[in-house]
Amino acid sequence: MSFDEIIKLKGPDTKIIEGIAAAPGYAIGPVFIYQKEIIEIYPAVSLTTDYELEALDFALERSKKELKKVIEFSREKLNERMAGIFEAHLMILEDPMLIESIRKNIIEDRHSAEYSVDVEFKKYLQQMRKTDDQLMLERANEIEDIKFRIIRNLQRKRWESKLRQSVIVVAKNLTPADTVLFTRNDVLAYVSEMGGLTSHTAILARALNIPAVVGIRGLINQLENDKTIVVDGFNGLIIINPNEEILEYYKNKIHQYSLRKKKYEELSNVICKTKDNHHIKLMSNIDFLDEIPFAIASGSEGVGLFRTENLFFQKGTFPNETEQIEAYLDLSSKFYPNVVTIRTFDIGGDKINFNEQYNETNPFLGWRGIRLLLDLPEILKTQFRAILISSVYKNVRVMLPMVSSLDEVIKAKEIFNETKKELKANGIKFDENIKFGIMVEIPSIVYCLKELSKYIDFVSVGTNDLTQYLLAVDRGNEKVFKSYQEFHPALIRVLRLITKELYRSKIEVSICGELASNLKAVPLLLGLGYNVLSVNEYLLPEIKKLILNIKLNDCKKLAVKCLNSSTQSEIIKYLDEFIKKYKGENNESL
Amino acid sequence: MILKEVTILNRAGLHTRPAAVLVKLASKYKCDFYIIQDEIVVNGKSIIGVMTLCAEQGSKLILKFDGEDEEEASKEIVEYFNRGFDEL
Repeated sequence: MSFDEIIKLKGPDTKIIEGIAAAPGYAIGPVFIYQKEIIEIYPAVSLTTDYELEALDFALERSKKELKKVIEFSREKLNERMAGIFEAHLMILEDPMLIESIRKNIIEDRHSAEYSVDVEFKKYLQQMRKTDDQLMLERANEIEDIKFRIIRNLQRKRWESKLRQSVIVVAKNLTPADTVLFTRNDVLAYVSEMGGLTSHTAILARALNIPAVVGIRGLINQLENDKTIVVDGFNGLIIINPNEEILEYYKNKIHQYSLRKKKYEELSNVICKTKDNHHIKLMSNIDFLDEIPFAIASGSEGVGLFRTENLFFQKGTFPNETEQIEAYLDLSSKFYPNVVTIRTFDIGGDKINFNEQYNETNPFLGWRGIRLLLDLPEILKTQFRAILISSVYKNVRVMLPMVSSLDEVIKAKEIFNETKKELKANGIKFDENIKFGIMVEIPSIVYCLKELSKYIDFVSVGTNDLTQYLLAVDRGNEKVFKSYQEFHPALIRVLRLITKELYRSKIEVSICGELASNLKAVPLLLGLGYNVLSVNEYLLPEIKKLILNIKLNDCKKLAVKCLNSSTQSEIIKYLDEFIKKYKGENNESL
Repeated sequence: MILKEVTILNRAGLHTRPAAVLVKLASKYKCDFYIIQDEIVVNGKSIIGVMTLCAEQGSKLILKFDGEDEEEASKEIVEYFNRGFDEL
């Protein structure tokens, strides 16, 4: 993990502070502490009622004007959806109930306009702050910001958001409006003491491609304006007084990241659609947490497969609950709001060190995947607990490996529901609507999909194992490797059967095996009805480029031809022809 | 007066964007519109009021319509809830 590397490099004065990684990217640059003037609410007595009412109207109009500017700006820099956040803020300034109650306060209680605004807003804010729900608390902060906006305008003051140079903006609390307005300047990164991953500010920073770290209380007191700091938006770190080694390390990271980004950039924000306008979702397969930044930069729309067994292999034994939560939260927070799919340990019995050596004559047909986990329910339960606890951002899915029968799913789901119940009884928060799915990689399960649809929300097809079990070929065995045909007609037909079976039940089906990362196979998979592909990060841009240039309709025709083929060589011929035609049309080499 | 029970269907719940749409829809009608969640009652034509509700996926709310065009209002608004705020 890179965190250990950084600690090793740091000098005696260097200080590394951990916060929440809110938006990816790195920055080295001077600090600009953005301190809003603290707004004091002046005494309650009004001058004359008429004066206060007029002042209120003036301040509301001015605040609306300011917010309209923010809306205009976010339409330009972001999109309609993001601008919608500010539309709602604008509506608050026009809320008939709210304005009426403020006016009533001025007229009947003879309070000053600013006091009345403060009192009436507080009624709502108090209600909102009763909860411990993070989203609600963030929302309260945003509404409070609107209150301050009105009061500032009542006091006829302005906030400055123009900067002289490229800086790292540090604030106690950055509002969504600040986040958008600062981008009129060259902002290297955002850092705030308050805020969380789900705050609108974090969402905006991600959309604006500006690295951000939030949630570091007491940070501003440790900083000085214009002094250089490092912001690591991947690991959520702020580094004060960075020494040469640290700076060198991050300069190198920035360089590497920008190289990859450049390669990925042209397409990373392009929505992946076929020429005839069908959206194909491209997700990533993740083996190690270090791959996350690159997967994100490549434009991945989430994680279709996180192989948790790598945590096992790294440690040599099962990671405990805390270690797992740390890894899963890292994954889910960095990909937020995109979905991440966590697959429970897929380990063979031969990998587990028990007192006596465990050996199998046929490990691929033996004690592995969900079979093993159901025999070690404590381990499965710990993993379920860790996954559930990490689901607080509501973007986590859980997936079972190597399922061969309905009974396994029912049994695992029982344990899953039991774990949920226990967490609930202990008052631990998790996503109650977390999606539960399985890998389709053993042929038997393909014929049970109809019955299974009651118990699961999604399936992911693992083509490597599916091919191996369908053809009864060990692809690691050189002698029979020739028989491992990745385009065997039977495999293509089984792949079609899966999408056909799941078409009616609303079950999402994706494909995460190597076949999805094979450029040649992509048009065929699309034609067979797969519209979610989980692929290796470094291939994602190329696959996207291909999809942008082909028609789903042509893919369907290709699939029909392949489904009617009787040999692999015939199928490969069709696939090659298709790619050749695409290359010809686009005049480029793949 | 019309009372209707609705369930929040979309994953993100009654967040800022649907709250704004809801208030805009309600404001087209003359009838009073209230949203009731447990013991909290908010005016459905007040965005700040609607935003104080903490309605997650699965939460049940009661909608109260009262006035001359209550029939039409309830139809359009209940439909918006049933479409999961167009986020399904």
